[in-house]
Amino acid sequence: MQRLSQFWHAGSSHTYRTLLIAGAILLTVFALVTQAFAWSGPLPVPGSQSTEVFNPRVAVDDAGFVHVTWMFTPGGNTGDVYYVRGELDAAGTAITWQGVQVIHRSSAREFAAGARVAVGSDGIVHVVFIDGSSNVVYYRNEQRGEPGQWISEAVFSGNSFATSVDLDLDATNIPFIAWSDGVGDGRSNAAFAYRAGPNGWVPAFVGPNTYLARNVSIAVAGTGPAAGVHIVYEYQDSQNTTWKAGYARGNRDGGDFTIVPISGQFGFTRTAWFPDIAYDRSTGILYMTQIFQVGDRFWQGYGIAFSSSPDGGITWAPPARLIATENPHAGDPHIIAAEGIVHFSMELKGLRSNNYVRALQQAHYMTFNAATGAYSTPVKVSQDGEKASIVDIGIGARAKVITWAVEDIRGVKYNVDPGGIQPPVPPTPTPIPATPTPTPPPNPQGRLSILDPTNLNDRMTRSQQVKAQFGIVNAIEGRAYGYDLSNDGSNFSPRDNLPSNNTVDWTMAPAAGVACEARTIRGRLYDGETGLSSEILEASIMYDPGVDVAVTVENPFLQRNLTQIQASGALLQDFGGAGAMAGDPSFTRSPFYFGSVTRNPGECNSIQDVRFGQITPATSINGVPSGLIPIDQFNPQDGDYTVTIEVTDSIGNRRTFNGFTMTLDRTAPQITGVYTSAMQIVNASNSPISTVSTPLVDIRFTDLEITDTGYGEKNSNKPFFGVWLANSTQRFDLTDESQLAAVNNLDWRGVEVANATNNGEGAFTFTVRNWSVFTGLQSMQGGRDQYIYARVIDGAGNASVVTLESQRITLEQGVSPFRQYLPFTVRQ
Amino acid sequence: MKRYPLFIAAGLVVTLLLVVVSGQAFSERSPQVAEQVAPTAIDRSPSEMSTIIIGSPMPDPPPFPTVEFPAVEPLPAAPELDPILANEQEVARYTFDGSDLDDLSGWRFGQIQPDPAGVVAWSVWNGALSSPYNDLSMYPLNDVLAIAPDALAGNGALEGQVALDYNTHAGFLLGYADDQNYVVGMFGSANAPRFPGITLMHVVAGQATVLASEPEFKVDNDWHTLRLAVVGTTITMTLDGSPVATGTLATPLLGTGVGAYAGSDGGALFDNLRLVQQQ
Repeated sequence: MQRLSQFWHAGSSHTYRTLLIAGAILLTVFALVTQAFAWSGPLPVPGSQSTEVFNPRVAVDDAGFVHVTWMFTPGGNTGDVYYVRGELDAAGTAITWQGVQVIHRSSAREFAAGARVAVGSDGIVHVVFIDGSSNVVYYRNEQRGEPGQWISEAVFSGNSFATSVDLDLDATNIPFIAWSDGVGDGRSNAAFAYRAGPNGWVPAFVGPNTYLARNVSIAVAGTGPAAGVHIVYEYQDSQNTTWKAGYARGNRDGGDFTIVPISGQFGFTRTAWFPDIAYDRSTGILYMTQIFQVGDRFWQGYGIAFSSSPDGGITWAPPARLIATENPHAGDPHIIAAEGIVHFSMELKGLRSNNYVRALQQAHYMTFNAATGAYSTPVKVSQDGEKASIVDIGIGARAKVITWAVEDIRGVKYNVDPGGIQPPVPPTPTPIPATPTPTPPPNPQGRLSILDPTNLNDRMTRSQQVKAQFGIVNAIEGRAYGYDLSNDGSNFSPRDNLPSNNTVDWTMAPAAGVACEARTIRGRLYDGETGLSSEILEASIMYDPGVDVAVTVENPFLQRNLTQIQASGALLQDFGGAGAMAGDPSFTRSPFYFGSVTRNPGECNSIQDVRFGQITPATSINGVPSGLIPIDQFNPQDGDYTVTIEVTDSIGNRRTFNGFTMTLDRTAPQITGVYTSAMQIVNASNSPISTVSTPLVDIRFTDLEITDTGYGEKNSNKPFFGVWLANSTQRFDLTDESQLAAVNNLDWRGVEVANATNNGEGAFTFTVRNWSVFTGLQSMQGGRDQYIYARVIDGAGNASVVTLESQRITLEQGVSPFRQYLPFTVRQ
Repeated sequence: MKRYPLFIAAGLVVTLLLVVVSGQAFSERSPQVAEQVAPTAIDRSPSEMSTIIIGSPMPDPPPFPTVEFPAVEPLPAAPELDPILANEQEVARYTFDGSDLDDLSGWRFGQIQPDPAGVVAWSVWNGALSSPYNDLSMYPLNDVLAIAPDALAGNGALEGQVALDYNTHAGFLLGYADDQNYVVGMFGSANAPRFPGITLMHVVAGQATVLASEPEFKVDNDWHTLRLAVVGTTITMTLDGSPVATGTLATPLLGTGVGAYAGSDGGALFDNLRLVQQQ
């Protein structure tokens, strides 16, 4: 779209010789002008400071007037159109602004679109916008924007859901308006109309009959019925799909338009948006920009794709990729092309973490010189610390002006540079080529993607065999290309011919294990005719070769497992057991066990399915199916059960874990023989004591005859796991069954006995050291008598029926609980 | 009496000047409106799309000048949550360990205004749930929602770590029934264009009722522990352990969904989310 005057395109009385001299001088100047900027701002546009202002646009004429429009949405419910005119000083460095004018008030729909402003060489100011009822409304002011001189005309009112609008003038100042009608049902189109006279607008739909279209831009090349109408737009094939950029080309009067899915043909498979198009009348070259997404993730960058067409849009050059960096990202470029120079205004956005920093979203300006192929360095024109968006540019004879919206105060700011469009060089018979013929032939340029062979995504694969897909951005039609690839960046495969689909099978280096590995594959393209190679191209993919998890199959009554079972919401009933929360991890006294699967750090995908035997856990821990698992058998009897675990991750890797055995043991150990004095509280010499002066005591068990089925049968040298101990200030008669409940209600603690001596006849002697006489007691004080009771437990936590009793001990007055902990046992 | 003509003349001059100045300063005069005729359009769209022949490539930047941009320290990892309250039980936990790239299976996404272009998905970035830029939307300011796989029936809370990258707003949802019915408790940066400070809002059929608001409440760009709790009809919002907003629902919550709410242009991170139910 153009936002400059065509003053110099009107008939000229100068001689060609004069113009040639001036042109030669100016061509020299151009190379300097693009780098020698003198931006004098930024400054606010007076009268625009409101929280409801958006979408400012600018046009500059050769008489030195600056025309700025914006939309105003009081309460977010309407789309009023405001206009303000400024006047440049003679040097083109400062603007004197006049009063703000309200061109139009809208009251119907929530979001109107536009407005756009242009000014012709005749000084007529044109403004177009979508009103609140989806109508395309045009205003003109034939007095250079003077108040009270606005005249409206209806352009088109048959839209269902107009979403955007744009405006350009042909060389005779006839306005052309393009808009998009985003119906959302496969009938969404770009459309255009030109003004054949007062209220004589001629509208036409041009395509692409898609799901949705928006963000339209128009450029007009030539004049009269055969004038070329060039429209770019964003479109969506269907709901929830990415936006693409489309291009439509046709003549002003008659004939179908040619519709081109331009972003796809440029090789952009990800989001492409904010297309803009401009026509340089001095060279006959069309220019197009669009934003393209660099990688799958948005923070990998948004660059500007910049292309040109020297033949009226029939062919377009493979685009240059500008500012395709991870930081900053480019956004919403607008271009003006005149006298061999393309002027860019654009947003550059700085990132922190994965998000844009508003204070680092700034308006920038840069140029492209078609004669030299040189780009200028982008220059920041906006204010540090303020988010700038909707950056627009207008150029007249005296100056170029850039405007933008400042989000935090929601006003309009501008900057001005005195380097305006200079008088034209005479038209030359042949257009200045935008793309100098490369000599010698160019090296192939392209990109490389590594794809999963099944779903062709370039992020993740579980296959060592992948697809390597090349893209050649400067492919010469009919030319054969070759390639080579490398897993390590130094050892490349023998060069081979690249098939027509540019995709080859490739075997990555084997995985070291089952953990995920980020793989980078490198490759080169070769021109089959010249043998020239591209630079080394790189592509990365995450390789997940297996299921990297840790699996647990354990006694559910262990404290560490009980905690997780309870957290999962499952209820573990202790059928017949005494509740000892200690034992052997591979035993259970319930027909359940604790099964869990934990992702190791090397697992980069989620766990999709877990099966313990045939059973999928009903609960989950940390998002992975785990918890209390029933033994996979109806009414299981005591004995051994083999557990096989199968884990499947979300990418389809499956891994089977074998070798887990759980023993169901519901039989309590038995204490036989004489045991009435088998338990004694002893001193360091293993002699019984009657008084204690510290809270920690040693408990000696002597010649305790123990038998056990289940756990005991597997541990004949020590057929018990440990003892269950409880302190009491009350002595119980263990022969009195009426006192059994009170004994059971003592606070019992399991203590593993690691080593015990066996006299060879099933009698065991061991000492539990440093047992605190206060463990489990509410009252902790000296000066009283106490007793210790004990039961024997097996690996499953079953406790013996027989309860042992220590002798009475008297705690001296000064005994106090300085510390409590469970004791170790030592070999006797 | 002889002075009256002078006063009248001076008054006329002043009046004339005022009219001219006011017209220059702010003109709202009605434009000349020509007859509004809506022309009909002809269809010049082709039956199918065309391909183009790609010509010689554009000159690539040789080399393109580097754009110097200031670097900003990345956000550190989110801290862990405090232990669960004694009278509550954990229903679900979402930790976004960062290794799953886009793995948000079970989550659903929405936006506050129905949009024909569709719904933009959220993502996991660097160990956190990241709100997207709703660039898919046809509308500006179309805030985005992410609904967790689990629901909360009865009394309980959603709690977790939330960070704002500069001027945006973000918070938690409770009682989510659909994109038009939920309660949201959120906080915004001081310079956020919308919802700065603290906002507690009940949205019914798309219409928002502000239950509590503290626009001057200052929140920086680091991680903050946010908790949005419902007990009966009382909604309580707690930030970094301190109650910041309380409101009473005029009508019951219509759903049981919970999730995250964020401004339409990204910049919000969520991590270590925990859904708890009161026992």
